Amino acid sequence: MEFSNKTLAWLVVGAIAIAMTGTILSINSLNMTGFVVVNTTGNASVSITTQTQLNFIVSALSFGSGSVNGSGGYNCTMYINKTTSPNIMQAGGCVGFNITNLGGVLTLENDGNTIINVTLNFTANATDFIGGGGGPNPAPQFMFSASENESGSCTSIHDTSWTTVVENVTQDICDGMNYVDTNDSLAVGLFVVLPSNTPQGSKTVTILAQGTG
Amino acid sequence: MNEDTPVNDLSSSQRGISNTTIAVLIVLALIITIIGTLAVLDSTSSNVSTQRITTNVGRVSLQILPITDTSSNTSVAKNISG
Repeated sequence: MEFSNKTLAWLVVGAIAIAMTGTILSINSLNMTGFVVVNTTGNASVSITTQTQLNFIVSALSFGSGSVNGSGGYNCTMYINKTTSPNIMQAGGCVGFNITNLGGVLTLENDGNTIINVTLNFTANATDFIGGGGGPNPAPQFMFSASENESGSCTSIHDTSWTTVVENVTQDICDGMNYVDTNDSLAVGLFVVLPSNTPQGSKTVTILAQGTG
Repeated sequence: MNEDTPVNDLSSSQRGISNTTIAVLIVLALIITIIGTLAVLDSTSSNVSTQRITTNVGRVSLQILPITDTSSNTSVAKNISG
């Protein structure tokens, strides 16, 4: 069966009509305006852009300088969290080191205008950050904990007890971090155990906090 | 009209539409379809929430000092008898 050119033309015209109908319906369903303005009233509108911003408002924790003697179990244990902040608690054979941290415990704040989920990622674990251990010395330990710095800051908070740091692994600490100014901050506590044979020198670990909204 | 000239006595309804006309109509149909598709796609993209990610960095540091051996400073009591 062969269609005449006229038949084809009518088919094309029909296709155009269908396409136009579909387009008009789509545009109407999108509530697109601007084609015709018949209103005599004025409208004022404002658009709030979504902003996702997570900051460490206390971004540095220094346990300071010191050494570990063989007394007290051949280790120096230090920790700071929301409860102790700004004080750093010490136990064992700590000689020197800081007893407070400037600014207090590491603190994250949601400075955007949207609820976010927060994760932490450490660049080193206890072995890489501290080292030492073996013999009479305990193994090094490096742990963290999360808590609400302001009540109501997190819908579902995780790792509220000391949790061993795993190197380069993303660890979820909060699902649903609030952005209201009085309820928008989390404290990240840190706990270290330094064996008395910890290699001397300066040691630093970086914590990457990520917020996803 | 010259009688030798072939007479096209087809009515307009019986005349075919040129291929050029059909091509134009097809192109028109394509343009309309593309506009409609783009409009729908644009509306769809505006309704899809984009996941936004923010990062910030904190640091933990400490320094282990060498242990000073103070045993040589220890005083030793001596009993001197004479």
